[in-house]
Amino acid sequence: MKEFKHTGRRAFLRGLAGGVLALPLLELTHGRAWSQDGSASQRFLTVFSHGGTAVNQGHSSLLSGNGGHHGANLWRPTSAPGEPLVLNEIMQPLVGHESKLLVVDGVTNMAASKQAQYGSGGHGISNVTSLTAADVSSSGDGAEAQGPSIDHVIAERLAARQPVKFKRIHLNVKGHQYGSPYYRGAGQRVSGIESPAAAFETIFEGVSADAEPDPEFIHRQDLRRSVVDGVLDHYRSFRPRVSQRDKHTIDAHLEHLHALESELNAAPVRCEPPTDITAPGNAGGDVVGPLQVDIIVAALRCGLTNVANLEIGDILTPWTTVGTPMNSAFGIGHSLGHYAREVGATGADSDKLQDWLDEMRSNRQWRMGLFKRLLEGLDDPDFLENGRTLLDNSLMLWTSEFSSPALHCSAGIPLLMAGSAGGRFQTGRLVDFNLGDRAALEYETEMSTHNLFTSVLQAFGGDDTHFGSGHATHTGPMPNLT
Amino acid sequence: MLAGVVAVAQGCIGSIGGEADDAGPPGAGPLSCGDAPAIVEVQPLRRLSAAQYRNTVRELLGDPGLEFYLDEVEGPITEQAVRQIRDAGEIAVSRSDAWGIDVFGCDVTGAADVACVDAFIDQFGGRAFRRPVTNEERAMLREVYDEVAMFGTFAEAMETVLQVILAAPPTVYLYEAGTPSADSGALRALTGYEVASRLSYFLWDTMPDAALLDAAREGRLDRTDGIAAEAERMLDDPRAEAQVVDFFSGWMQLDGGRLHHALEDARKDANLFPSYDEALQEAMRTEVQAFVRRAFYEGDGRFDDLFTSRDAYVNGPLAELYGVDGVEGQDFSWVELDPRERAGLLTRAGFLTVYAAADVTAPIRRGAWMVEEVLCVKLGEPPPNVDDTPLEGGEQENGQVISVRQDVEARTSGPGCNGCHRLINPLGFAFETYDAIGRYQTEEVTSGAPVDASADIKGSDFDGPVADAVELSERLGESEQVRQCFARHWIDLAFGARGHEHAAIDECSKTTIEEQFAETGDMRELLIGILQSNAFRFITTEAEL
Repeated sequence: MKEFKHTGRRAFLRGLAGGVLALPLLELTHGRAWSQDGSASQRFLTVFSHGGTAVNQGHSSLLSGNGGHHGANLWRPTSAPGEPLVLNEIMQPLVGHESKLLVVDGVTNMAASKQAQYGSGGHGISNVTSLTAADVSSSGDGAEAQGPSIDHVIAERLAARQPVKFKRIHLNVKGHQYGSPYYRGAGQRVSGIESPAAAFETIFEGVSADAEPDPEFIHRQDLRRSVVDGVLDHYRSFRPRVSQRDKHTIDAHLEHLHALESELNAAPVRCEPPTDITAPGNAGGDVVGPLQVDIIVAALRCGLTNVANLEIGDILTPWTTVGTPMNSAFGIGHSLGHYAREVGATGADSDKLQDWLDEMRSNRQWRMGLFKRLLEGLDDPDFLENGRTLLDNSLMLWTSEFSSPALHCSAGIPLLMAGSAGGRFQTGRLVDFNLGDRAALEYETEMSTHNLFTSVLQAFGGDDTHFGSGHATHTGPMPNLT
Repeated sequence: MLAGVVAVAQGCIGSIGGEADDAGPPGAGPLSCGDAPAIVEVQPLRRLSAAQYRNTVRELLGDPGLEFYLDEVEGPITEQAVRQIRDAGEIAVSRSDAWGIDVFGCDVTGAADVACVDAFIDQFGGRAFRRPVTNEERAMLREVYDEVAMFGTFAEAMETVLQVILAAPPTVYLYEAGTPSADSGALRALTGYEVASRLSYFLWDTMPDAALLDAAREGRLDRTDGIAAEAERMLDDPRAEAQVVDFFSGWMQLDGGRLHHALEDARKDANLFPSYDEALQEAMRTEVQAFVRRAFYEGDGRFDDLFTSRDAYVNGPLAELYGVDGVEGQDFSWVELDPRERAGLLTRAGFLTVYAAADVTAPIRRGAWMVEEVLCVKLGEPPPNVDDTPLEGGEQENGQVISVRQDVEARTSGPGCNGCHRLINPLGFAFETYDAIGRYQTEEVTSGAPVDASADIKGSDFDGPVADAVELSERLGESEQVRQCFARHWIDLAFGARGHEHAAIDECSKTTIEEQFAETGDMRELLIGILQSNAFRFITTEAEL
């Protein structure tokens, strides 16, 4: 027999001689109870809502509404810090779940504000730093983050102790946006899957509640292994020939091929997949959004991944519109967001304040409804791990690139968390890091998303003392979360 | 020699142009550029675009109906794209009944045929890699076959090899090593096969055909005259025609941009524009495509025709939009538009509809596009407090009715805005005689305010007053700056530049191309000039810097 130069997969195949069917099945009907090191499994989810929210947040102060910008805040809970959490209008879909929520206010994305051309934010730079808190390649729309986003770091770490088929999954609700905040590393953007049908096919192929895997599927996986192995050989051979400058390009390709290889070598998952997920990506957001959530919930319950991202584009939501629809200049959410500065007392469209608030409320409540669907899917008492819901061991993070979209404002950005990462964070609270007097419309903070992400890393077992670039006022975790 | 045009505005950045000496005669070596040794910029490793990869797989299999999605993300390939490439291979194999080519060269449903395997690897692999398969690659592919043959059928083994080829680096990437040559100094001449790929993906957006690979093998692409001969052949191919049409769609951003939807998704106020529907959108697209085809391929391919021609390809509804009598129904025919109202591509409904709001014109967007894409002046980042909600004009609180133009002037006259808007606004105002779907107007359909399309152009090599877009278009057609910018866009396409940055090529190549085009205005010659440039034919490897 010809001598294979591979000692890995091909040797494995030859040794098995068709014995793949004998691989032990992982009994996963509703999530993994324990990870390999014996600690409770943790999951991390992000929901990124492009286009900011309806707040009166300015770059260095809060806005009264007496100028061109409105003075309303539909986001921040109406209760004071320390009081029982009372949710504001945008979070109304979450009423009843207050005890599992943690709202953080008074935090600035200092990676954006300190690197932006105008010292405030901007589309490209705010997007790419939202979850990376990283240095950027430039301050314009072409900005690229020079470091990974928080989800990627946690996905890599969790996968090491909680092996899964997919280190993370990333699904989109398609809409206008100025750049995804998700990165694997410097200049390496991550893209999500827009089509629920495609996402379902990718994530749940071969997953079934049947006792034995489908032999045809096993055979297909064998063929796929051979494809991936063959392609890997070519890229390994190719890599030495490319210039030093281009090595990272091929390294990224190799890394992704290894991810595919890892998926193929993952043990078959026995689990009931969701049904009726057939919508394409160009179906309406009202169809796509709930389906993407259902896929994420099912994937987490089935133990297919530890980390999931739901990226909601800055879409208009005509199916929720109430009152008089706003004139949304070019039919994109960005235009709606910009109206924030037109509907204040001296704004050009001051008479449309209520219309604008109605439309923003309904739009953002719909988006929050997706968060609720996720939350409830994970908090289902029928799916417990060690007596606790999946949510209790998870951390869900909702954020956006802006607070006020009209100002491209990266100060006081919306931060909502749910779950406690296994009891690490104290929920049911509003925490405010604004050092100024809110009543006097002051805004001053020393807290950056750098600090929040450091806290998140620590909640997932890391001993990190800092995350991201050097633009935060100080390093270290965010106090008062645990 | 042209004086390089430098356009820098207060609050804006950007420049084009430069200087170069006369080029040397065509041949095998690099063109001379004065006394200085020829240099070219290091080009990054290019990955085929999604369209190029899709077209390539279709051509390889003779399956034009093959569809699959592939991420189009700048920078390193995404994990999803790697998965999509794998999936594309599976989809391709599943459609073997639709293949128009005998891909395998033998009956794979029968017994294993080792000679067929080897021939398939060499022939199919050679086409996919766009050069002969190396011994190492042949061995690796044969290894894949042998492995699958252990547990699968002959067909499965062959299909697996095919999928590996489709995902392998020589298929997915445009790797260029070049060869050292005595007459090219520090430069490395691209091999004939590497030139063939550059030619093919530039002019056809797909892989080389057999004739081009033959030319590469026979050494005909090692010389500028050989390249020109192949380019002339390729330009007459429908694939080049499609590429030309795509170029213009991309340049005009008819398929969507940062702040606007594609023509087909551009919404309009049904009360103001009752005739606007999908059929009219389609007619607008058809007209633009026919217009650029005619400008490029018919007549002498003059650049200025793009901005002066009154020819229009219209059906009944589009003829009505232009106020042309005698065309009814859905059939298209060529007509001549009123020379007082229309001149060239930018006065056509497709462009004007995309760069407009649902109800009113959008002079800032029209002007900003022109500054960046027609003049190649890079606009700086707008301040964060910039208000880009639509400026609609109409009745004000004091009862006064103002035009869109007056609204724009009022909002952009401040010192923080004027740096860029003194360039943007005049170019946009010149198009105020066209409403939100491109109809000619003397009064605004929304406010009834009289239209003023006069403008005082600044920041260009054709500064000065113009009466309207017709006069402006004539200036554009004659402008060296506009020609240089137009050439820059073709250079970007030739070198695969995507996203926010222009292609990095050496100054000598760039100015030689731009100068020649500025002098001749011949679009076909422009493309040939790019193909014959040092930047297109030579590389500098990292180690030689």
